[in-house]
Amino acid sequence: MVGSRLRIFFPAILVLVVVTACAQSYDLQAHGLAQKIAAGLKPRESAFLLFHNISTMNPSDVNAAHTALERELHALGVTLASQSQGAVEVVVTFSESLESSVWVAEIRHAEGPETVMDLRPKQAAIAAAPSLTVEKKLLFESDQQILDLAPMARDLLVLDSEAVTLYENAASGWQRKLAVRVPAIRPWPRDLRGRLMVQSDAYQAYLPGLTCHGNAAGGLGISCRDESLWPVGAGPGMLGFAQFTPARNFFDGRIVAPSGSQKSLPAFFSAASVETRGDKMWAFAGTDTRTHLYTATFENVGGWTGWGSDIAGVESDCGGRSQVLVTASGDDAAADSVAAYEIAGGSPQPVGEAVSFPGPVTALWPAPERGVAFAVSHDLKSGRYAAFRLAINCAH
Amino acid sequence: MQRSAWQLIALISLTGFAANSTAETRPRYGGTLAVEIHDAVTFADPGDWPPSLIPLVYDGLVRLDAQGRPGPALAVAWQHDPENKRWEFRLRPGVKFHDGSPVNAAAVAACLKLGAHAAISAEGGVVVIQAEMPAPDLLVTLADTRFVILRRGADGVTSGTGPFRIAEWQAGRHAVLAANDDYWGGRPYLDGIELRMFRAYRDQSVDLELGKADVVELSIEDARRATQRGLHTWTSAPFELIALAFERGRTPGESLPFRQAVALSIDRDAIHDVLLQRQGESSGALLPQWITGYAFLFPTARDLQRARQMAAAFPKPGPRATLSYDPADPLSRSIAERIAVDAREAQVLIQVAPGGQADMRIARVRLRSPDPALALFDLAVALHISEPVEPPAATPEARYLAEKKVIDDSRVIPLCHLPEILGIGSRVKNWEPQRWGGWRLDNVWVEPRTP
Repeated sequence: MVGSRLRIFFPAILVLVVVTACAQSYDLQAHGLAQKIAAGLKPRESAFLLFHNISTMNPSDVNAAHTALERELHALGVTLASQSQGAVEVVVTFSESLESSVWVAEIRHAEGPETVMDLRPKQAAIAAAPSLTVEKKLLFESDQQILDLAPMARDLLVLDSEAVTLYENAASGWQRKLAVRVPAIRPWPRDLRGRLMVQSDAYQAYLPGLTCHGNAAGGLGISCRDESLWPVGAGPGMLGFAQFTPARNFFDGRIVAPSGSQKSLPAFFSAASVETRGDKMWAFAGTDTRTHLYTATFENVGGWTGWGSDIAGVESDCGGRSQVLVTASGDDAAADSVAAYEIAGGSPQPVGEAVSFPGPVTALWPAPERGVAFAVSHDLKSGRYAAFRLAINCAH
Repeated sequence: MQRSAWQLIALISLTGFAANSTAETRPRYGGTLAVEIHDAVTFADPGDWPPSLIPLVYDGLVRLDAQGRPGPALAVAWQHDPENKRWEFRLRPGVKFHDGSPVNAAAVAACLKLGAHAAISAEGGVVVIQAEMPAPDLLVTLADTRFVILRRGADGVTSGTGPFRIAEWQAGRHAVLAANDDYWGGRPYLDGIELRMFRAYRDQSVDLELGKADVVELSIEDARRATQRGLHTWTSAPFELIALAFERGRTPGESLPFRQAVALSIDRDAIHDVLLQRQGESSGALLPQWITGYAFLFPTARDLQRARQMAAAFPKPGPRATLSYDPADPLSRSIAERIAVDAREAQVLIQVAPGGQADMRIARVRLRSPDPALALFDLAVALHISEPVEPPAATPEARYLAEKKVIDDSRVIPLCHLPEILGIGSRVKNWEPQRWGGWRLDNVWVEPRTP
């Protein structure tokens, strides 16, 4: 018969290793298994290791795992020797289950084998853990192309292709309160982009070849100059400023850090700050369709394809606490989506499900508010533009 | 949006490659999916349903993702105390049962039954589960289809919250599921699902070929034919255990050497290669490799010499036993007969009989969960074994040792793990069920039938 406690409550049956959201490496798993192997050996007993791989690890990963385990055993004082030297045979199998990397060691003592294991969440599975969701909330709609927007106390400041407009929150919805026309001196480039930053009542609007500022208090004035140095990032994830190509839709790659130092990178559409294992990094959505990953000191450490050209870094209290919101790769004629990723081991891992939009996302900027970004979508059916607040929410 | 490269790709696809491409179209709303199954399902309770069908109509508080990890469903957030005894679940707002009544904490608390040692209550709109023992795996448990949230009407009819609602039900024969327009996850693309039950595998296969059915269950033999004819099939992870189970209290089976002799005589590879036509995997473990990662530790190789030695130790005329199988299951019969042949080579006489009382039986157990603990529990119940599930078994080593204890005892001799094989009609798109068989068809869509 099944034990009475089991009939009562399933979870008491067995306790599964809890999957944590922290990043793992072969070092950790090697350390875990090495400790168990060392504990299974008698004092001064040496080990002869045999390796099998029945997992989906590729040969280079197997070699890395192999090396890591030997190194960990050595660090624990285990001597590796040959069978002819009387060493105990230890058969190590790299295996896996649906969600775990399973390393098994059979310590073949003469009096009988002992089996020890170490389970870790699979590398890809860790980051894929749906520890967060992206919550999409409609903020504002307009017939004009919304370039960016920013809350101002209870009001909302909106930058579109023609004006900077302050809306106040009324019972019937957003009501226009003040507006000033952007003094464009030349036709805007196709695929117009813009950025809006606010601080208290003051705002700065960044457009291709034009930087404007004004103040919402006392009439919402506007004053512009021919300059195209845009802020990149927001809040603690602020990279500095980057040169926006005036007649195009991308940054030319020249960056001015907050310290004043300058750096020249390949041209990019957008950038996102991301933290991985405590290291600050930067992802740049390049105009070459690749996303490039850089260290905080702007050393290129890799890249990948498959992301859209708009990305925004956000910090949150979920998962690895640093996510990148990313548009899908598609064209203007298609619906779009924004998905959250974390960077683990130098590569992007999706977290949670993507949120979809009825048309292409034409703007995606990080907001000063923690865990939040703003996205603007062009509804292909209605032709209108809609701005959304995207917030990272912990699933549990 | 990818700004420039995709325009180029689009241009290329419109010119040079257009003639050879098979264009993907956007999902199409509408249509009815015709599904045929072998089981005859009664209406009374989803507990009687094949687990794969339950997610069509019912949701749980949480559900498992493709990697088997729990995520939000009717509950959008949860928290627990440090001891994992008190859990609080915040419900998704605005969800209604198919009968229109709201899904609130009181309704969930009234529905959910976790046993006498877990109290479930509604506190201020939050569902609270207070367990007597730590329940660190509660989320995985709640994701099991046994714990879906439903509302039982006065007539006993149940109402769920899933993407489809029951529109028509002829017990054991035929059912129509209609799209839930208010589904919290978004209305499914399909207008409905027509479920035809109690269909012989052969008939299902024919219906698929004739275009009368869109999704059918295939026997191993029919799956091979379907593949040869170029039909689209889908194969799950191997989640059904086929085992030889000794009945307790019957003389031959009470002898450990006898059980071991039988176990050692079985040629699993032959069963896998010939009878199962290489579907699934031969296994010496109760749980499949994809669930535990350590099933490979249990040997599957035949040891005829040792089996003969053990059989030779029995008094003349030698050991003998009876083996039964489900007479409605040709595969069980084939396996039983193969085991008898194998055993005879070890000088063990096994008489095979359909149904009835016997010393051994061919057992087939479908696992409902990819969670090792729940899966092991299911096997323990189905096979009347207690050893592997006695707590505590917090470590994988402990779980392995518990399973090894059962295997060494040889009252249950695992033979193989089989997948579910489905035939999928050509007009069916986005067929992406869970690897362990749960059907979520809200994202499936169908092309219109051609006249």
